Amino acid sequence: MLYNSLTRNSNSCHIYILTGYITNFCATFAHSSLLDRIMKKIHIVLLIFIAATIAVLISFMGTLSTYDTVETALKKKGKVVSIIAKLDRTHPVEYDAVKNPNYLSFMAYDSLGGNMKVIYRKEKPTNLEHSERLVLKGKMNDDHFECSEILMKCPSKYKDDMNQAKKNLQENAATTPPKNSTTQYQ
Amino acid sequence: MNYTGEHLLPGLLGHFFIILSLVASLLASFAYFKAVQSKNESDTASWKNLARGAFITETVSVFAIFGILFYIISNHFFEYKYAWQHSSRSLEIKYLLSCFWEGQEGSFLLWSIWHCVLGLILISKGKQWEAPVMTVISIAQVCLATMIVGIYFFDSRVGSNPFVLLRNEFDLKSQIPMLSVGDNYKNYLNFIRDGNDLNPLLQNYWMVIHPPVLFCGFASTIVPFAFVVAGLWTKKFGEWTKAALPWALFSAAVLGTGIMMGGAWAYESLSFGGYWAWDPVENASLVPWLTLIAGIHTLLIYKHTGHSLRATHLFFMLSFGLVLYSTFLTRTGVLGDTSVHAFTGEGNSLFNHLLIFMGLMLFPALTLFVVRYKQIPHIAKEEQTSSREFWMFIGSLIFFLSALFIIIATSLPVINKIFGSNFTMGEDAAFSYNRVIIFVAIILGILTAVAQYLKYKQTDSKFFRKKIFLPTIIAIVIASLVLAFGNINYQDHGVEFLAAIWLAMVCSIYAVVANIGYIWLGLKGNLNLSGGSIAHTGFGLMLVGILISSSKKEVISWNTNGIFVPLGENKITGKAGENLTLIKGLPATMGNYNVIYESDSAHPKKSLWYYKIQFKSKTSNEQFTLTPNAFVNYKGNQGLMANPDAKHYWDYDIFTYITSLPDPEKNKDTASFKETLMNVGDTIFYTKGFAVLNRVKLNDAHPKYNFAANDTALVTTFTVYGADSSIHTSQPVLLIKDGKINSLPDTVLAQNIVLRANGVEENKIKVGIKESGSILQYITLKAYKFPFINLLWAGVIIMVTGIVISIIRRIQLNRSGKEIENLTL
Repeated sequence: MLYNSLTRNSNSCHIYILTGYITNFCATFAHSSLLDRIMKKIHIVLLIFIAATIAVLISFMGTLSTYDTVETALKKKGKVVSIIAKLDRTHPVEYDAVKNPNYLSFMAYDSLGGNMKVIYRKEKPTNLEHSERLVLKGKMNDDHFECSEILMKCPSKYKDDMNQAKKNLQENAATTPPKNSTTQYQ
Repeated sequence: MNYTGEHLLPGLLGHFFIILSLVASLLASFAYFKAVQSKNESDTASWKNLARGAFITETVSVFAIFGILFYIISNHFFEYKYAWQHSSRSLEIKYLLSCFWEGQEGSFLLWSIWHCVLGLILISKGKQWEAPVMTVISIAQVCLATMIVGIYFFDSRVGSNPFVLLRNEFDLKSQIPMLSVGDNYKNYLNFIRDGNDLNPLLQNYWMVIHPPVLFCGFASTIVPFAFVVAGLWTKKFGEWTKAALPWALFSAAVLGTGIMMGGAWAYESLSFGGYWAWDPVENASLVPWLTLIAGIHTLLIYKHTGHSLRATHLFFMLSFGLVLYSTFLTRTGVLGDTSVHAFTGEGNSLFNHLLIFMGLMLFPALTLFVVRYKQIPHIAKEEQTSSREFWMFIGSLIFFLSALFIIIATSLPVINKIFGSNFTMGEDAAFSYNRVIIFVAIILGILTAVAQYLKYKQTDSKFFRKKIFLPTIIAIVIASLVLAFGNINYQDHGVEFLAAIWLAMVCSIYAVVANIGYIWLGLKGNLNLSGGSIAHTGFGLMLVGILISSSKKEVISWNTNGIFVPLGENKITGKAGENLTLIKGLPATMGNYNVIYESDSAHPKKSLWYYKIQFKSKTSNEQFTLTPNAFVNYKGNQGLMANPDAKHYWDYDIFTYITSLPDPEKNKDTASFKETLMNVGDTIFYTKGFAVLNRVKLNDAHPKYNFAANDTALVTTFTVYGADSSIHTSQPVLLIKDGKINSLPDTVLAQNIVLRANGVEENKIKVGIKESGSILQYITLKAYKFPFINLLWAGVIIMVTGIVISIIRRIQLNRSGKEIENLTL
């Protein structure tokens, strides 16, 4: 946690220092008479802004994380990564809201077969069991993946998904037996 | 084969009108194009007449398509896939319209409808600009018509038709085995008795009004774009600005309203605890608005000084381009793994289709811009630093650059796709945006405050200082008070970020005060002229509201309860969890409140549950009940979809939603009753206490049931003594009705026991007792306190009001043909 806030602060410091440096640089230049003839103020402003934008983008790149597999994440312990994985249904999903509503633990595996235990200290996403795919963001620890964000790909969320629509069709028909077939549909 | 019960006529009509709208818009595009190109005036007039006829035909067709689809949905004709997929019989009438925006076909249709409405206004008011502007809009209409035409072009289907039949889209026989039996397939509609229904998340009143407004905003960005193209095309550079300004303002007002309505919807119905989450879909709608605002300001600069015309071209083209790009991002599923919003597309065919749409609209425009760039008039002499236009231009640049930053960050999945990289947002995605945007807020706050006090071209510095002195002093006083007593102490991201928040707060307060001041100091209180200042005041207020509400948002459901949850402490972060579990009937504390989960009830038609939670303040006699609700296992949406409930005060909201419920599968009661014969005075034991039978009386008073004299109900009354020294009363009933014995058990939730009276033997009552852990009824929830969210909403309303005042004034000025004096907006 401490480590993180430090890196974050140093990131925002980059912007301050970089923009500050560029502003100073331009200001000294702006006073020279040579520049007055070649460049307009608006050009200087543009230059500053371009520099600032680049600085912002570079520092933004610094905050990005990457998609990893269990294997590569193990090599980056303590670093924030995103892992695309599937819920391992052969193991129970551990969540008891009465005991602790802020503790969820389950097993997940990635496309290369890497296995890991995931701990998520928030509520259980309600359709976890029905998810097709999980995007897990967090840090790999020695014995588990400390997850800070779960994004689920659920068939149900996507109503344009034909497979789900077909399934609903079946369920619908199964739960509503036909009346007399001569009955007009109302 | 003839199928029983189908209504095929509306569908046939629908198909006809779709084809008609496509043909008519093609004809309109061609005729308007010829009207612009022909040198001869009578030719122009006759092409124009033809084009108008075609466009009006197109409008009629689009409205007819809309009407027919509405007819199909509201009559529940589930033989049509669209109606089946997006509606159901239990859907409330007010949500029938929402079916349009759930589906992709309906969304494009809505977009098309707004183009038609705007087009009709342009035909009647556009004068010399009608033909070139309408050419652009008609071409866009061709593209939109192809989106819903749904015909096969070689092997791929172009567009997706809303009138296709369910039986043609699905192989129903393989889905519903019963259909293969005998004549059943002929009567397949008897087997499809209800639709798939609207996504529960969209069953919210904001979802009835937010999408049409947002789409109107999106659609209207084409007008400034079309004016730019018209200017470049006819080489009347700059002349178009006068006619385009009210349109650009209109677009900004509507798009801004639409975006913030989306925020209000997210706040009230999406359970991520806020109105803005930097979700890609939100960003995609914000970015065109930012460039539009930039364009409006550079346009004003041009009108007053002749500077910045080229930039105006760029900004307006960009706004429309970004609307198309946003559609591309959100509809094709490129965003896939990054967005919580539920959109998918038609896969590859839509992907390419939208790319062609973008290319067709933007490529000619950009080519014209590049080729004729040199011919666009500009002033070589540069602006004074003491001039208003200089700082307005800087403000526009800031708007543009922040749009650039946001769209680049949002496009990460696209960047990954193009370059094969695998980047994703970092640990705290929202903070990645906030730490940049906070500086944008600081700069814009100052510029918004100061720029109006400067004059165009050049400002006398003594004049400026004299005017701005008073507002500055007042702003400093107010800002000091807010910072001193507002307790704005946001710790999550360190001291630098807090300092930035404080600075941004000062600047936005300055913006509010200076603009209110300018209405009197600069404009002598003339409200007709103050549209700009009012809009700026609203913008400043929005910034203040955003800063306060996000930096002072409090979680009040911190799990510090300790009764049930010694594990609630998160050992890693040292923070308590945000979720709290409430057991029915058991009081708990939450922040400054004593809360109790009182009861629940179900929606009569749907699997929708309401949970009543009573809040009592510990320090005052404030008391209220919140009823968050949740869809449980609703139509293929397994699990829970929660809708929050909030108590609104003028200065803060208390806001709560359900995050977890007992799993009904796991919650099945497996324990069984232990039976004993009891007399009054006898005792029955369970593991955590005992119960004494006090009284047995015929038709005794009962809290749940009202027995009349002719009933035969033996009411038994127990006193339950828990090992935790709690005392409860329980009254199971033995009811004899129609010669049958019915047992009405009673549950003592706090003790997890059920008591029942099951019969009478040897003059004793047969009493059963059951203990189980699973009868526990509970909800898990999160609760927040949002301070001053109303400042944000008020800011939006004031800003939009200001823009509307400006639109009215601009239209009046254009009519009277007068040029404006030295005033903004």
